Amino acid sequence: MWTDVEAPSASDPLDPLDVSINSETGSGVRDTPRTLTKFTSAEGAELIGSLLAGLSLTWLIFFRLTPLYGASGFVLMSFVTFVPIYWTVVRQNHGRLAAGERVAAVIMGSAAIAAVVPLGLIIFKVVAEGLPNLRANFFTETQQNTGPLDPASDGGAAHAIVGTLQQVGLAMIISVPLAVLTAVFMNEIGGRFARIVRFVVDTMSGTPSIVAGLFIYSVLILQFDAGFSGFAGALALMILMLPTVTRTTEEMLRLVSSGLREAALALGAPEWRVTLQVVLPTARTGIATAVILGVARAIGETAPVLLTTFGASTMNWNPFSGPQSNLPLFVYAGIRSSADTAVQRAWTGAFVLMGIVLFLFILARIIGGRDHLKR
Amino acid sequence: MHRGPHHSRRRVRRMALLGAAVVLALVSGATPLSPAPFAAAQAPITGAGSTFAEIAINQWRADSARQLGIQVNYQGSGSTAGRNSFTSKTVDFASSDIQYEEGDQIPAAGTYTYLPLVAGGTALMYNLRDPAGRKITTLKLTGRTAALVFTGEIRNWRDPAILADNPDLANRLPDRDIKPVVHTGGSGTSAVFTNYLSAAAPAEWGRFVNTIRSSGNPNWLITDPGGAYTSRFPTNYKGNVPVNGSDGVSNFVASFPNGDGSIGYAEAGYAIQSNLSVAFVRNAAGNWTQPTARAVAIALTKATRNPDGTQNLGSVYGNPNPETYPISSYNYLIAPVGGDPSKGETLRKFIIYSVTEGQRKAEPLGYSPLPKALIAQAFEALALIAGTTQPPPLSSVPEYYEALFAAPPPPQYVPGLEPEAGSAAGAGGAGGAQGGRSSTSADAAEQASAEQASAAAAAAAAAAVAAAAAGGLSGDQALIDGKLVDLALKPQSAELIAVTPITPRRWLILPALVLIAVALVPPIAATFGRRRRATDTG
Repeated sequence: MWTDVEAPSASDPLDPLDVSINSETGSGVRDTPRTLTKFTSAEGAELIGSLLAGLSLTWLIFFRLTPLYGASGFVLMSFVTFVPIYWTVVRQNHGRLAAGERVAAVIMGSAAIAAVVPLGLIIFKVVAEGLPNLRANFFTETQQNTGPLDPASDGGAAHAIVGTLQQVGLAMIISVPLAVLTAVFMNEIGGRFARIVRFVVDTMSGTPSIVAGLFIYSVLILQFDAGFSGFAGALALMILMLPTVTRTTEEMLRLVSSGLREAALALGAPEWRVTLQVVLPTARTGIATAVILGVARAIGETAPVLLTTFGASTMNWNPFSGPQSNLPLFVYAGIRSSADTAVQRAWTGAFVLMGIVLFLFILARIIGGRDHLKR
Repeated sequence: MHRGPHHSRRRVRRMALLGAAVVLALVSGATPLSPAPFAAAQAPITGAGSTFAEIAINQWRADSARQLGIQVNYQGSGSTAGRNSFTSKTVDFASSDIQYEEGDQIPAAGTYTYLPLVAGGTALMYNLRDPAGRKITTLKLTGRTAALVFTGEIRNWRDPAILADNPDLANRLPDRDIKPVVHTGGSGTSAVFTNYLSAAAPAEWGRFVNTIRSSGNPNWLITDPGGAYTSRFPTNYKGNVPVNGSDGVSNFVASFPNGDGSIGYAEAGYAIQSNLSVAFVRNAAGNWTQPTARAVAIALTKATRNPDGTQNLGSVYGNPNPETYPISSYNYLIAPVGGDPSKGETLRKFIIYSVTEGQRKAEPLGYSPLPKALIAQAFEALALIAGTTQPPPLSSVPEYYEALFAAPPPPQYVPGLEPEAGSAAGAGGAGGAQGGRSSTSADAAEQASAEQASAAAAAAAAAAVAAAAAGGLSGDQALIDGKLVDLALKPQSAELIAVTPITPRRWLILPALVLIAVALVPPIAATFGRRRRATDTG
């Protein structure tokens, strides 16, 4: 139940935003929940009309009255003119309270759109540039036989795709057990040390990716003379994956109801069996989501693999020895080139990489949807 | 759901087996996509270094993979980085435009050797439009003007020094700031270019060195103690733009609007790739030349061999031949002496291919082929590398260098007359003999290495064919590793670099929008459609 702050004036026309007086208590009471995002056609017309008015006023200012120019300035100014116009219109029709609420809703909605529009633009640009050059040989051939004089359709990124899958796979194999066990420790065992571990993990999640790459480069490749390899890249990625997976898994373990644990303990199971056979299976989908989020984070990182895997144009199936390519590095090297053909291939590589990440996120949603944690 | 008491154990076992299988598959490496038939005898090799030769090395890497099945990886990380990586043994070979200098990590003497790989000209590429919006393609710069531009003493395109060099462009040069684009980090191209500047404009270069050394800025280094050149051009000095790598330079200069009014230096092949205009530079004979393969080759006839295997370019800059392009240099491959035999086999095969048949593509890519003397030097150095692959006899080596002189000298570029197809790719108008002077081949006959050139000029085509016929090879064949290899080029289109035309496909808009909707609509709908409800805290 919401109560209104100011009493409605008699001149306000009736509409869903308005209040009706509760006959028993005499206070203003709302009959239906107020939804700021549902518009009747009249209110929709107010919104669109104000938008057009803002645009027209800005057009007038930009193209007739002042020497201002630029697309971004135009958009910004039309928004800035739209808001007061809309406020005035709604205030005229529905009252000051409604006007304030509507304007606040519009501003928040615009912020949401502004946050989401770049993503749409990125997807569109990558698809528009990368899709035309996508052919079957992109997935089966490498750059081994492709030189600067060959067309963009020559060769492919099979070596990069294999490299990415191997490096991320190895990183996953190393980091997921570590992360799950760490999360189990922090959640089930707890204590002062767990707090320290949690703090360290949170700090580690802020590690710049280039620092992770530099660390592996200087320790493994220079000091231990191990040379460039896909495994070194996997280790650098593991440093980035570990905190993400740990924190998300810990959140998921927290959501397991303690009633389950208590029931299992009451039946006489030792602590480790409770964790292994009750808690972890219950949080199974959450852990899968955490793993996929960690993988999606690591798969697109360029800086750590730049220093550790060195990149290659040939297929290297052994991640433990010899330089290996991977998709982010393939895209980076291609875009930097002054040859148009390499740039085209890089866009296609970016498209494939984005496709893999999108696929992982969809997978995470599907798995997360069939959640045993939410009742 | 009743699944029986052993169901979960069976599932666990199955998952474990599946997981193990996946791990094994990833890690095992047995595959149908494995490389070529010669896998046992030769290992893949990795190289790093100069971006000067990167285009050529990438082409040879691809071609030798196609012809010989070897696997070579190369990263253009810069000459200094390549040399240092070679010393720390993180790569198997390095490519560098200069020898090891003070400040590098130098490996122990006798553990490495230089061998010449390709010759090239450093092009001064620029992006300039006149006030009417037309591209300027015939910019001329003397060495002194170039030094003034890159050391920041000239800041405007209409400076008197530039106008003096370009009287025919007096009405077209715009009144804008010059943006000199320089290489960051340790770059062999910087070393080669500044070496030329110190020879062509000693006063200006000397002033610059003194200013840099007395500036006290720790980031500004002149890496040569004698001040004759520097691998690290002082960056952000008087507004110059530092960019990483030759690719970066040509990308920046070609870009709009940042590259408008900029001028940079990189190997000529990059100007071809980015379709940039290249400045005409005045040689010692007073002619304006561009870095064509022929002009570079003629200039380098004055190079002399250093004891360590590199070439001394001191006399190249002042070569009096009317056709030379003064900013010419060689690129060297640094190979390990001895070492892993399987890697040595691959390296040997790669080197043999690059200096013999690979030189065919030197000119189309913007480089200049090696003369026989330097190919012989490369074969000598080959003996130090591990492995058993032998180079072919010198007489059977294809003669791409000699073919440069088979054609008559191209017409001289006259300022005020537009050369054919103004950009570097069409610079057949470079240099050339003046009216009454003797032909190029007669002049070149004075130098030892150019004797082949004059002999070839007399009957070049016949000589090449005769040599090939004597060795039992047809024009498109070569003897590598005791095998007859057919090296016919794939049929190429008229354009130098075939680019797949990309036509905007409007039918893509719908799938793109669908993808966006799939990605964005569910979270938006979830946020706005969700009703608040009490959460279970169980």
